[in-house]
Amino acid sequence: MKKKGNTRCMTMMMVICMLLVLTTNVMATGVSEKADAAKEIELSFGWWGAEGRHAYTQQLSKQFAELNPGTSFTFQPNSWGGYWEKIAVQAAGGNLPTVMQFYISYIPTYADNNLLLDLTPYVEDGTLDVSSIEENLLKTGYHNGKLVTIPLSMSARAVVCNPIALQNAGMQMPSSDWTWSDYERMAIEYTKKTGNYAIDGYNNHWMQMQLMLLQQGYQIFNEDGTGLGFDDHTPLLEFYSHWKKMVDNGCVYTPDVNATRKQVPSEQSFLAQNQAAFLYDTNSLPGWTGNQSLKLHPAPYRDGQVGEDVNWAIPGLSFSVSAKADDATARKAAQFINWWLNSEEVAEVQGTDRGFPASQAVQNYLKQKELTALQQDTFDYFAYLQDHSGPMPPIDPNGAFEVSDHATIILEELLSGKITVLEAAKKAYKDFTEILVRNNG
Amino acid sequence: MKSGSLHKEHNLLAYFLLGPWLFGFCLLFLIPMLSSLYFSFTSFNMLKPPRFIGAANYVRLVNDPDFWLSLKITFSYVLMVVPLRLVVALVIALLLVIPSKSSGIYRTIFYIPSVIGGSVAVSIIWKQIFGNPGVIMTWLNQIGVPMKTSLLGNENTALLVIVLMGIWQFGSSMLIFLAALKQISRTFYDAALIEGANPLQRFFKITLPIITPTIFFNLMLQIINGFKVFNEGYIITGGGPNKATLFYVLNLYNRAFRYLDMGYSSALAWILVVIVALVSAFVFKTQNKWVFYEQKEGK
Repeated sequence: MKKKGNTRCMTMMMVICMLLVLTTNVMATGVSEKADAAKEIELSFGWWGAEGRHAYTQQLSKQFAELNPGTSFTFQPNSWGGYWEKIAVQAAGGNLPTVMQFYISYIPTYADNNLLLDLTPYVEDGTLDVSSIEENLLKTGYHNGKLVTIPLSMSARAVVCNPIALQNAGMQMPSSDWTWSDYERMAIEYTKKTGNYAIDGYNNHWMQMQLMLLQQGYQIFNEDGTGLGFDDHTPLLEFYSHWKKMVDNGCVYTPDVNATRKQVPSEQSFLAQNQAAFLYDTNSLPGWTGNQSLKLHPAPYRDGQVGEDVNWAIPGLSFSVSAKADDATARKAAQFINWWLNSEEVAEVQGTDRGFPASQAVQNYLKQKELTALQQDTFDYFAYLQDHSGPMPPIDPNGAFEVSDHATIILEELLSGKITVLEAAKKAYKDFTEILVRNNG
Repeated sequence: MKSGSLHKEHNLLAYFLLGPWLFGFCLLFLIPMLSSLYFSFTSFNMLKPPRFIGAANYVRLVNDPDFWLSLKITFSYVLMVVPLRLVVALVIALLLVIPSKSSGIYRTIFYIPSVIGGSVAVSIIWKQIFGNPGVIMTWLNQIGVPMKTSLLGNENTALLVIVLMGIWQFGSSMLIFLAALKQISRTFYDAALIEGANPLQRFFKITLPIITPTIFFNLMLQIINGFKVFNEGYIITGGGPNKATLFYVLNLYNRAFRYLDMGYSSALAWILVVIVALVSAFVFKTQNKWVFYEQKEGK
């Protein structure tokens, strides 16, 4: 009996010894890593994008690490949807990447919760040079007096037109002072002549809704984000009537087609293949399709309001730094952003992939170079916008993302004939308000 | 006295050796579960600290059309997948139990879909087959059957495609059935043969009653698995078209991570726990009526 007890004791001792050995090992590695950290600064870097962007972003970052010995990177490339899901969880866990690509709508949520570092000190001591950014654009980087994000680019919405598709149908490019009626008429004519969808889907209908409301003098959200910027469903009728007319004439595909078209890569979209003629989207779309003949065209005016400009340039992408970064890391991150914003090395590789460059110096640098047809078109379009821009709409409140998702559901119900235009508008007004109240009430 | 202390020593060692697992269990299951129970009574967007709001999330649930819709879709999925998967598993197991040289190879082949079945890669392949443009659409168009929308794009068929994928993953049930079938003593069949029973009679009077405990076990397992369906909806259809494949767990995931609605999502999770528990309890209750255990006859 006693002997058995001894064996048991021995076993336990052995297990304890083994555990101790393991722990000391772990502790030792911990210590040595800490010692290294004093010399080495590791920047974790998260962004969203497609394969091409992932590749050159990593390559450029490595170039920065070579120029700055003692700096290393860990990369967190992601898709748009996956990115926001991941950083929300990382924010909750207190381990946000040091440098994060941001989009303006998400700034308030993160800045209000003190997750983004105020970069003002690094601008003041010259680490981060923002002088090349136009004043109004730079202003969008501030939240409650703190510089929480550095705008890297501008973005604009446009009707992406396919001149070849129009030509094949024996039609001309629209003029820049066209109206929604012209747009509808052209779409119907195109579909009649070719049998193809004139409009390549409705994935960015949300932008169009915002535009059509602005053209009637309404903001989509009220100032504190607790509701919509109008009192009943009537301002939404124009938007839903437009889509109803388009789907009834076969100018746009129905949700069942869209469900699986969504997964088709941009290069194989109807627009890229010269089958569709129009899509209201952002200035980045032509680049993704790789179709050099696509043109950015100003959005149609509201009928009877030709000349009242409602196109605008909005901040594109920006870079922010996690508030958790210590001073040495934050300084290095600021240097990195500075390099990304201002250097010709980055401009050379990146071109207009992250939007129209925010830095005027970079714009000039790119202009001297031989531009591709698409880049030239982008420059021309932004030049056009300088003289034809209305005021920028306010930043989206919390819950805007959910509202836009829900808007897709309602539009799809309309497009598949389940609800009428009036029902869609009423439903949208009621549901959007509910979501906003829940998120901001 | 002495044996008592020995007992304690025994227990201590057992706990000690269990330690790593217990540690993992607490860290990865118990603590998250308890936190989610707490979160379900809060408004929590993961960025701000949670704010206690009582049972408001549970009240909101009652009036949430997405909750009811996703519940309906998930129940339909379970009702279709579970019986069909079990039938297919049993039929294949019956074929494989016949001794032959290659049955080992077939067993492996039939089990493969279960190993890889719920994975991301297979979901993507499924999308390529049934999507637009997809294998099926292309073939049908080539043989002159024009198809405007794919089976996955159609609200009425999208769920069926996912159900088909679910049935295809019958391997684990099949293996369990196979083990049970092999346990059945030959003497029953020999006796039946002498009495002149035909194959159908042998199946319904001997095989089926004897394996009812296994059917019951498989049924429970598959029901619980069925309610957890997520990958297929997330990857293949994204819950669409028109929410036709918005499974319960997919809706829960969207609320939590897409809309940062963690409090409400936690409430959804706990309701699912209750639903699965109730369904399981119900199935347990019914077993007196149709499951035969050998011991009962002896007693």
